[in-house]
Amino acid sequence: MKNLFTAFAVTLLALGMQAQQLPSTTLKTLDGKLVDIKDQIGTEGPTVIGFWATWCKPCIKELTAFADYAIELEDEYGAKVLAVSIDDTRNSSRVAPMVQGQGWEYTVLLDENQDLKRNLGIVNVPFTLVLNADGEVVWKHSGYSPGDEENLAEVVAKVARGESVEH
Amino acid sequence: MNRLAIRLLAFLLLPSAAIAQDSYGGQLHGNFQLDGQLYLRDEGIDPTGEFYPDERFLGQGYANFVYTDGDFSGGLRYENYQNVMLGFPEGYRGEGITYRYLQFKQDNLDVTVGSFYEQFGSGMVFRSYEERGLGYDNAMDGVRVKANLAKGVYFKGVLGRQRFYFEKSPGLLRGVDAEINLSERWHALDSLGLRWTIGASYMSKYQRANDPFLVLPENVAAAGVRSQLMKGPWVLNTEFAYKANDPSADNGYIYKDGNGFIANLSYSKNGLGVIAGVKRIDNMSFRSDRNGSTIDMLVNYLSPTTEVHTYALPALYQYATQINGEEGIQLEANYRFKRKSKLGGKYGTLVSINYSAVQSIDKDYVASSNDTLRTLQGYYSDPMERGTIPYFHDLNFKISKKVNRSFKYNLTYLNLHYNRSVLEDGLSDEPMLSNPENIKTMDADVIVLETLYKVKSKHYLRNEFQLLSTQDDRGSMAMALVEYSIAPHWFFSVQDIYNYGNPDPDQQLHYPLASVVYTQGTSRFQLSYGRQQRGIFCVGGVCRVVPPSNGVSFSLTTSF
Amino acid sequence: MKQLLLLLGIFTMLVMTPSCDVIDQPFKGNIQDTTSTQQQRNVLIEDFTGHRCKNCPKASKAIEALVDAYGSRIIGLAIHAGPGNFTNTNTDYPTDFTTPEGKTIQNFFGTNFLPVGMVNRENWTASGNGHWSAYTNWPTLSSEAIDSTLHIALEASATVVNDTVLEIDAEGFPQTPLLHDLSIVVLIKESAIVSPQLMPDDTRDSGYVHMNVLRDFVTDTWGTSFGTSPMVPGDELSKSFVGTWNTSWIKANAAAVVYVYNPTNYRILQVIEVPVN
Repeated sequence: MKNLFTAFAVTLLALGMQAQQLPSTTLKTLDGKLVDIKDQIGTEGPTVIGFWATWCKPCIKELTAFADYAIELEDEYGAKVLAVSIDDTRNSSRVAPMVQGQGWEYTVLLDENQDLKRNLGIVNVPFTLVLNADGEVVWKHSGYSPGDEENLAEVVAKVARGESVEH
Repeated sequence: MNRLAIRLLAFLLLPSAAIAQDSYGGQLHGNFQLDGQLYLRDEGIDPTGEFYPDERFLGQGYANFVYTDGDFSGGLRYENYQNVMLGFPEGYRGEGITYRYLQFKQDNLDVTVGSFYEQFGSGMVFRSYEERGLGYDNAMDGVRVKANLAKGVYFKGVLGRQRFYFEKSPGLLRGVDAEINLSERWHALDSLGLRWTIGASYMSKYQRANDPFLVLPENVAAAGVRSQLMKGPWVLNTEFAYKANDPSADNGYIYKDGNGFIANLSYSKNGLGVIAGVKRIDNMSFRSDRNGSTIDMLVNYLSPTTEVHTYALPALYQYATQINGEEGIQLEANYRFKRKSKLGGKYGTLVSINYSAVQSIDKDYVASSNDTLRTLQGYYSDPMERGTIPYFHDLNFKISKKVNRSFKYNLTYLNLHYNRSVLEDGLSDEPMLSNPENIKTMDADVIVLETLYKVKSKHYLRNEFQLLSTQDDRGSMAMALVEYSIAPHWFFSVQDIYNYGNPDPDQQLHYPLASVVYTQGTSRFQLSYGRQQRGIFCVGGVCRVVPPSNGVSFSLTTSF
Repeated sequence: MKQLLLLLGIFTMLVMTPSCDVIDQPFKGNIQDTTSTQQQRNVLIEDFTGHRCKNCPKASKAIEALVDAYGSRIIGLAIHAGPGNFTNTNTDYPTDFTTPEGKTIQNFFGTNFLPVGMVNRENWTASGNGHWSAYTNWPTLSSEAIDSTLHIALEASATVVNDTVLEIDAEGFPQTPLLHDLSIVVLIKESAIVSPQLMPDDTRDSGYVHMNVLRDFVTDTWGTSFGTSPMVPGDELSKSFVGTWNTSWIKANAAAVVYVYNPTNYRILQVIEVPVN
């Protein structure tokens, strides 16, 4: 019985692990233009998508701590980092001043109605995904503790080199 | 079953699973959360035992599923409260499917039937959203149409009823919203570097009225206009809303109309981010049940113009928007001193300053002897006159600095003024205007020092020291926190809040809390033990009173 | 594209035409006289209150207004129960109005803010909050209950014998067929009790007159069985009860409240109030 269960679980897991592309969802840039997330993903190297909000302190810590690593990864592997804010339309006007004040150089996108967050089954931020050059989600992580940015940088480097990553 | 059979089964299933995925091309995502707490009887925080639940163990959970396949998506959510945990709204009783929808998008049209969340502008006229951590959920159940009518012209229409725990609101809502991105239509604007969007929204509710004493309006409408103007580093947002006569339990059944005004100006360039905002609300409580209260069935959303604090001690005194009337300002500036500059140091320094102040609006009450006018008008309010009762102010400074590769710190100072009569007792303006000496307030100075030390690769030690100094309410408190994280899986923390300044010696208690968190990919498991003092938990101006408790709690979340 | 615009234009019109009711004259005329010789459905308003709850006097006022309009068809019951900071006693508020049965009811039906009430305990379900109503909704709910069908008529009498013994006899006469069991509850309430109360303007009124205060339950919190399914018009149900009378209570201000309810959904089918002799 236990073996059957394992086989079933493995099957389900395999199903779940099937290469997942992001669902087509409309987001807004800081200029107010509407774009599709699928067009924003990098094609030359891995893409990191970090979901955050102006009221989420751990999110801001994660993005600040990762900023230095992001620059190195961009240079070395052509990696792209998207910081997707889930602030609603009231708070989204605070996003640009906060990005400037923090000194981030990321591409910032606004998910004002939280459509992308909902479509990906995300409940809490910070939530981070890594996609490979083919646009497939290969790594996901929920929450942030100090040191996670080191781990994230390692994962991105591995994905860029085509190595497999465990969760 | 022998091993050969197992291998055969797996072999047969896997390819068909792959085929199923390819032929349908869809994806299933979702998340799952389970929370529970075993409560322990604690005479120190709860001498009479009135907050101690008879069940002793309270647990709740939910699961969300979203299936997307090209232009089509659908999903549902199942919630379960056996029974609802302390501090959560008590209406969550039982279990069931509380959210289910089908959505179809094609070309410029997006139609949803079933449950949905939506917002018009900043939400002063309509906002339907969820905040699971607070137990807030006013999802719409009906139909929503979104269309891109022409270049830069966006239209939304909604029709339905709101969620009321496991039931639906008695009132039904119907509304439309239009937004035009003028810069996309007039290239003249674009060439000037101006991005200008304007919008208008309208929402009307219908609720049957059967009051034997009063002629109540069954149809009540609210409307709003807004504008967002962006040029280079400048952004100007303005919005004005109007609500017709809406006698409700919130405003004491007066027939006065309501209005709201928000304006924000922000500048962000070269490491400097500045925001200045003003807001004035007059009688803008808008619910799909005129007898609703607390967080039930709110149609609109009035955001607070105050900073939300996550540090434990300032978070005990959060502001909640007074939907019956308030006016306020907020000024915020963030500046990053560049690396290698004199004030910036080796890695740069971040400095923030925030000031928010909220007070009552000018109110001239009609004498209660004049029954008809008192009910019809309630009070007169002059928008040019300032209100006289301060509700809240928060002045804070923060410095963030990375000293070297292994050490970072944040230092914050706050000065708070908190009107307890309004924010804890729910007192209305009339008695405060006639007896201002009876208003209960709290003034406090708070200092927080947060340090982060890298012990070695992936091992970090974070500390927090907080001091809240005050003569009012529960008196002064001190807090210390030690947190050790081993990325990416483990996290340990121990904290204690000591209420050393409490005027009642029996209440000079310690509130310890210890947690262990294990994270694996998108799954997170937390186990905590500790004692929590009574508090107010607010998200976006909506607050919930949390009773004091002591116990062991766990939380499991995962998403797929 | 043109068809789409046309469709959306029509949709918008449909949505925007039911505009808005603007009311100039808020007050309705006099209430119709609803008393009659035949018994009709009465309304029990259970008002959960506390002497340190500043908004609670508004709820008591709402009951008074309804009693003025509908007379003896409205039966108010002030149950002092809920969070300790509203009901606890101290030097300024010395009277303890709480009862163990009141606490049990409040605990079972589940709410933690005051004032709040139930009108004939309608709309109770195992999941949800529909049975609770704000005092602003009591006029609407009462007028709806008043117009509804009477399923069972009640008669009762209450007498104090030997100073401390209270005897109550109750009789029920089904008016329509009843296909569920019936439980009966008997309790005593007293009005015109002078004791401090916190008022809406945050001042203490030491001479406040409390009305309809629940004093004691003669039966258990959930009563006893009165009739079993099925019952038809023509049946006569009867039961007698014996309770304790506290000599500090004033008979002239007191009343015995008798109500019958459906034990599966807690809905109160009929309630009456009789003077204590």
